[in-house]
Amino acid sequence: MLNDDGSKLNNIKKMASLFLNNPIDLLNRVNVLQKQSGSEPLNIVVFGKYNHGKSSLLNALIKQDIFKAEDVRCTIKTQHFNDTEQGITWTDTPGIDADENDDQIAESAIKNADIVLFIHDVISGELDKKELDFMIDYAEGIGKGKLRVVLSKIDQIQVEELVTVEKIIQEQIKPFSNIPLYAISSTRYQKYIKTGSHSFLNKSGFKEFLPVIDQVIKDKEENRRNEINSIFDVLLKDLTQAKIKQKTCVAVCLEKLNQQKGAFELAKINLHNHLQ
Amino acid sequence: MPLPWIAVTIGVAAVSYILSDDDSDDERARERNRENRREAREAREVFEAEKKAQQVAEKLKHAKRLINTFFQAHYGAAPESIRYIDNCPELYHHLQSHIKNPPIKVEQATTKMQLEMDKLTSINQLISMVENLKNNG
Repeated sequence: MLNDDGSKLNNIKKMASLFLNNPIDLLNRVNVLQKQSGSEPLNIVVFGKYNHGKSSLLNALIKQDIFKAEDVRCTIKTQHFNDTEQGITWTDTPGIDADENDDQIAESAIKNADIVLFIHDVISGELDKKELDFMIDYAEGIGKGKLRVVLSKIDQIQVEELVTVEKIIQEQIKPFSNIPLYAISSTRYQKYIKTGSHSFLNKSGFKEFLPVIDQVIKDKEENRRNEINSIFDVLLKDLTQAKIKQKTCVAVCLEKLNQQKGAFELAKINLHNHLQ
Repeated sequence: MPLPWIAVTIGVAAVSYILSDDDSDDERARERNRENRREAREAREVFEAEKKAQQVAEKLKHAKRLINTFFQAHYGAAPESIRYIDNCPELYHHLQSHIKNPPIKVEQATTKMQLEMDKLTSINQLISMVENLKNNG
């Protein structure tokens, strides 16, 4: 069945390349997803602008200082950490909007993500154009259902300010289909890990956020099936658009053909009249 | 024979001779007239025939010119065989059989149309392939 699907996919790949801009990445992803067994680790990728706390969040989640987290642009290539116990591959990406090459590396890393944690620090206020453009492309395309927006560094602003920013961002992401939003502080969570003080845990937002990760692990298989369907939906949407465009093209050609036929018939009549 | 009778006889003979000579002159004149009229009719007939032949030739030449222009405009070039046709009915027959073929522009538009139709068919096939894969997955 899998081989059969594989050959069908290859046929679709060849044909779809003629009509769609870039169906190969999508179909390759379907190929990967279809081949993945249940034991394949979950790939969670953090993504966002540089210095918004991506590496800090990962270090907090894995409870180790594996990923380099500094106040400067320090992640310049994709880094992975395999958590065999949880069955998760944590992937850190270079920050977007710092360097074009970094953007490409980061965007390439999310192609094979099961879940993308989109990090945005609350100090920056609302999402900017670059971040929203990414949402339009990704959340409404191949990333449908995979995106979680994580507002980081909540320890660095007042609660009232956080509520305001959260409201604004909720409004900004409202047009995209059902993207959950979480507010966290990796610093507070790491302090909780070090001190065991529940006050830090309660204020870190991790109490609400960690169950999300647990749920994602639990729903891995279902999410992968949903992702395959989402990819097919994206392809069908693009193909439907291509069909509409092609129908217009056929109509234009038909009109031109009829014009040529009409002109020829007229020329024939004129010739006959002149010959008589 | 007394002399007066001889003179009378000679006179009668001379008059009848003169009279008979006048009759044959008239006959010759009539014959000449007939001959002239026939010649004139024949000349007129030849002239009419030549004029008609010239008109037919002009008509053929004109028709060939029109047909050549028509073929050049719609088929790129006129068929070589047209050059050797020497009468209009055959030329028209030739024209009728050739214009059954589609002209270049119609042929090109038909090919383009077919190509675009094929693309549309492929897109429809792709859509049903993706739908099948989605539904069976």
